[in-house]
Amino acid sequence: MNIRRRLLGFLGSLSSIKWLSLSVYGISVGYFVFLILGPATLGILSGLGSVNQVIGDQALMSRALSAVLASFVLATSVSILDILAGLPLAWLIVRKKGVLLDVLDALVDLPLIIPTVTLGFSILLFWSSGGPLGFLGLPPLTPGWILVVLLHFSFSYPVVVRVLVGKMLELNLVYETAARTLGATPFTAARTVTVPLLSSGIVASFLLAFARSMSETGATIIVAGAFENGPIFIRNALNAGLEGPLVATSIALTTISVVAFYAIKVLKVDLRLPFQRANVSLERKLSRGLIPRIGAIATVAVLFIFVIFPALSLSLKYAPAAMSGEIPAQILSGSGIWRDFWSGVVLSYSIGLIVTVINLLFSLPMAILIARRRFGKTVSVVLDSLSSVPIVIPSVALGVSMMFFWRNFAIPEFWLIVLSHLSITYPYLVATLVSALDDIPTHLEETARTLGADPFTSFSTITLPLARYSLLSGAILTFTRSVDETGATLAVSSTMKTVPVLLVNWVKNPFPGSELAVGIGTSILLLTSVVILLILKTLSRGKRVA
Amino acid sequence: MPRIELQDVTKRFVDVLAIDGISAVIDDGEYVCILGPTGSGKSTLLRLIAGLANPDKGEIKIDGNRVNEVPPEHRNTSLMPQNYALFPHMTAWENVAYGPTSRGVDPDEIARRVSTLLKTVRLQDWAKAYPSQLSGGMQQRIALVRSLASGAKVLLLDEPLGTLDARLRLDLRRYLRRFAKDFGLTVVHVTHDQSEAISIADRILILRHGRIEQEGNPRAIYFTPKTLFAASFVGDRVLLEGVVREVRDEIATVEVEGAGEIRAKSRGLREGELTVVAIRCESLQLADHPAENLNRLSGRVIEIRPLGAYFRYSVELQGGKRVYSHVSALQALSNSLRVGSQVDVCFAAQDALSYKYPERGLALEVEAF
Amino acid sequence: MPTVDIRELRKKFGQFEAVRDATMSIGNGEYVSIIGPSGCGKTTLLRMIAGILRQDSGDVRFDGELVNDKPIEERGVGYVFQDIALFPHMNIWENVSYGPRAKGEPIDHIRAVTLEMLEMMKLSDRYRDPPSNLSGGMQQKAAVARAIAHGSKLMLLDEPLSMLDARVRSELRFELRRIVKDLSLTAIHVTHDQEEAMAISDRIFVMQKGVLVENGSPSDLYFRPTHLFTAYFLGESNILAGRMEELGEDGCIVRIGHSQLRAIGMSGAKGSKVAIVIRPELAEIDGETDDNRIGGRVRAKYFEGSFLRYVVEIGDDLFLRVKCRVDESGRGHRVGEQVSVSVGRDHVRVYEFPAGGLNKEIRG
Repeated sequence: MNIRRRLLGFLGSLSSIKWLSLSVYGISVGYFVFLILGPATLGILSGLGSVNQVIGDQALMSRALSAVLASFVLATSVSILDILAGLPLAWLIVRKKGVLLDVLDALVDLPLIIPTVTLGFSILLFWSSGGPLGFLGLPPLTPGWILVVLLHFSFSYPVVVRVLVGKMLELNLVYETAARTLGATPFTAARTVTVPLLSSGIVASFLLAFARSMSETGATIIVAGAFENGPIFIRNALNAGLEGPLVATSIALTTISVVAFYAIKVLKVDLRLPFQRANVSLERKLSRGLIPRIGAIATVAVLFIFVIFPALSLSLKYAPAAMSGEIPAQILSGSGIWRDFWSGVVLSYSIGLIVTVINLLFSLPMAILIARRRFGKTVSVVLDSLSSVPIVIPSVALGVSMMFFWRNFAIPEFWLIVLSHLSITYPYLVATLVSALDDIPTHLEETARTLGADPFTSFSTITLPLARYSLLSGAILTFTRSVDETGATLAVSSTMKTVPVLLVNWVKNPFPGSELAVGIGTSILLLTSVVILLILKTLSRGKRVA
Repeated sequence: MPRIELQDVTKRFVDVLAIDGISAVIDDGEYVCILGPTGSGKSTLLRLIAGLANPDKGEIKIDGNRVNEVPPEHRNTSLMPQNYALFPHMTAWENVAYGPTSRGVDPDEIARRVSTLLKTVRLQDWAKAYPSQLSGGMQQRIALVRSLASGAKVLLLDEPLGTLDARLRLDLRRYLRRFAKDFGLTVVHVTHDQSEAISIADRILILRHGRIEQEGNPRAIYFTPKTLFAASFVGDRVLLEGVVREVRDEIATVEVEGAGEIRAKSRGLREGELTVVAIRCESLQLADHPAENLNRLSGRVIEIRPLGAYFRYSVELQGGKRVYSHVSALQALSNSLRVGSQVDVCFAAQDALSYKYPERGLALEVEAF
Repeated sequence: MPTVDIRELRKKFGQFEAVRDATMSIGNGEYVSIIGPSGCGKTTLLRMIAGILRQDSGDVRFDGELVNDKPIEERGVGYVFQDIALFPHMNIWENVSYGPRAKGEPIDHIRAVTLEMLEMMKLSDRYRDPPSNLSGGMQQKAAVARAIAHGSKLMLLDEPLSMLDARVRSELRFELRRIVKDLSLTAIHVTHDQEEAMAISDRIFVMQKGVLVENGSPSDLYFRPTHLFTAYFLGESNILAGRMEELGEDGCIVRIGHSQLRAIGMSGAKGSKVAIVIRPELAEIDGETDDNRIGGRVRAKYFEGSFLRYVVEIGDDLFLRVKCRVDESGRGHRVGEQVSVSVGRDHVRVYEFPAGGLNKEIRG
């Protein structure tokens, strides 16, 4: 106890030394620039020479271009669909009360906890085995762009709803109430006051869905069939050993993503519909009675038909099969293909752990820099924007860039994978930490300082305890994101197979019993994710800070 | 030795000059109130003293030592923000113990200090409670002893009564002062409420646009405000605009628009100058038999509002100007004035203070909304 | 016919009874305030009148019509919020014109009424500004303009001034009353600031722990409060424990410490314990009235601007606070001086001593 106090006291007195704390921040920024941002964006440029391969070849060019275009169109349309469907659901969850809605609230998160590779397979299963379509007399869907749209819609949907719910909860109800007291029907109040005030939330969720769609690789491969968007094209080029198209498409994809992302962010998108005077009778009908009720039912129906049932279909089909016969014994003993599976699991989890720990250590000073504006507002804004770049870059392009950057350094494959994962998960962790720090009022830390606590003590006794749960959830999200990560891993790994890579391989290169194996393998992944999430939920039910 | 010294302190935030060359001295054991409207820079001043912000120019000295670069934890000051900032994840006991624990004080000594202090504010039974379980007044007391426990000799209070009910505010005003005096603390208390400052401060600094408008003890500030702004900010006063006709022996004869001629105290006004005369509402008496040497303005009572301890009589003067007289409850209950009564509004020249007419116009100068 | 009629409104949040059997009648054109400490239920009551909150039981009637089932937007009330709530994404013009626009009024009417309101509030030159450019006082004026612009005759104000500086508060309160009276509106104004209530109301309702304790004109409540809580909450009071000695037709005699006082009283048994209330400003040092004279020693003296506050010890651990007008030249009485405090009989009020003790009764 005494030693611990002395150590903390020592660290504390160090923190009062200005240049020492400055260098800690410097190291964290350096980590970001040289290990995270640099290789992810600049590496690709070293392969610029091979672009000539593409420019000459007409067919290849047009194929690359249409792949990039497909990515862009897909991402934009899916994001808009997500918002159109997600806004009403977020509304219901926040504004209405009832047990039913609490259940919905929990269910919405379902696709988030399922690894995307699993989700891809599950969706493939749901729509291609007849099911609901058979009901309507329509033919089952085969792998192709429709399935890709359905997949991207469903995995971004929870993110969009969560962000919107969060923003709506933050939004002070008083504005809508004020509008109502001024004579506005609920519908009028919503469209003239609440929605415009949610602009930033709507834009933020659009961008998140957009970035995810541009980036996603593993599950898309599973359901794409012949359809080619950017990441799929890159993977195909990788497999065919064509470096030129690889580089060109990666650069194109990255540039478009980054430009689109920041353009939308900067353009102060103002979601205000012109409002000269309200059409009272119409808006009144939209506020009460039958129409809103139908709308609510439709919203919930969309949730179930397009998100929940597809996500669950996998476990429903394979769970019984996994329990029967010799299969459990085979799985557990690691015989045959299961040996590869378990070594994949070990690989994925160890990478996940390492990535989480390293990122946690280095992103914390960065988050403090941004949230507490240590070096002024401009620096914070710049760092904040830059730190989200890796999300914007499609993961497979990021992997390619990493590979190019580090290949001069003879880095073992394992560490290459680790580096890619570090890059990809970094923005999520920083964003979570910044948001957690923003929630802690600065005057608590300031008061601690005036009571005699040096910066380190103030941080460890006030900030850290209050941010504990966000820290934990950020760490867990980082871990699961790393385990889930497919695109970049596909790009940088040749011999090592993490679990998602393995599963994608099994789907693309089927062998007898592979479908069952994929089904079971993805179910196991699902199970572990559920367990982890349950742990997170129970822990966060602890002391809630006023 | 003065506890706190500010020498020509300036602080700028991007495009706003929050503090513009302030110099002040606060003595050991003094209870000083910094009074001013929102945006006058009062909170910034407090933060500069605490070390949470650094001045761009000038010096801050505590106990004779320059502290410009000294971090907050090494100054002898403790800042209590408006909502007390009790650490929500710690009990009352842990909150109070925080200061000495951070300073590395011996645990036994800490325990002794904390329990004594909790007893002083009669909250020893609430030691294990969390801030969310305490009422506003209780939270304030915990915050106060928390500052005390840290060993700070200077207490910086940022609108400490702001979040409380009007009733509670009155009750707790005296408590703060008594607390400070009992423990021999030096206090800098920021507020926008002039009645609060007047009733508890040893000395008041009126702050406006980052500069000191006037400083002095409550009586001086109340009876002899140096500027028009100070006059309009402290106490309830009637403002009459007019032209100076004559000045003799520091008494000016002013012709007031819509009222007539009055005599007022003058400081450096010249004949022909435009002026504003400020008279405290309680100095305006509605007498039946006024003394000879008083100013007299005739008018008619148009409204009588009982405000509790005093009644506010709205009187429309013959020239059309409206003035308000505050008459004590006892007097009001026994006088025979009614709405519509003809009345003479009387006041002594000594109670009418005249100021130069402000360049920006009256409304802007007194910051009427 | 009264404009607002409330009968036995009740509201419970879980186990907590926020409002209990609230009944009040407000006439056309009245400016009424509801005062009480934080958490007494006054805001909850106001919100139920507006329709923002649904009551558990009880009726709300406007001009005789039952409005229990009418949604907020159809009740036609103007609501002013404590945190102002001007729409941050609209400028002042758009804010003030919001009501008429949302109700689909003809364009000419919208323009006319908005212009009129801006004129009235002296905000005509700020109409293009976003709310954040205006000072707190001006923002609240804009909010009031907005609430009136949509044509309601009933204004509900929820602690409209508590977020503003003291100086702005004391000026804006008279403005509020003037506007309501000039436009012949009816107003219900909730506040915890009794000075504010006294300044602007025709009638004040006192609320404590969910119950409307009493109501009356400011004068009535101030000089002749029927409840001990009113005496405590409205203005300042000395509240001392004493004993009833004699009961007469037009008054009574009570004892505090060594002194006997002639007072106005309630009915009570001879010998019972009573609470005696004397307002500090209604007592005088060396005054003229002969009704009551209490000897004592000045223990403390405080300068409070327009008056001096004396704390006079009149018995063992018995203190009387007396407020006297300040004379700049004269210094008043010195600490330690022996003085005689006089109080008129009408200003010594006697109440039944609360069963749970004084502290619990008034502070809860």
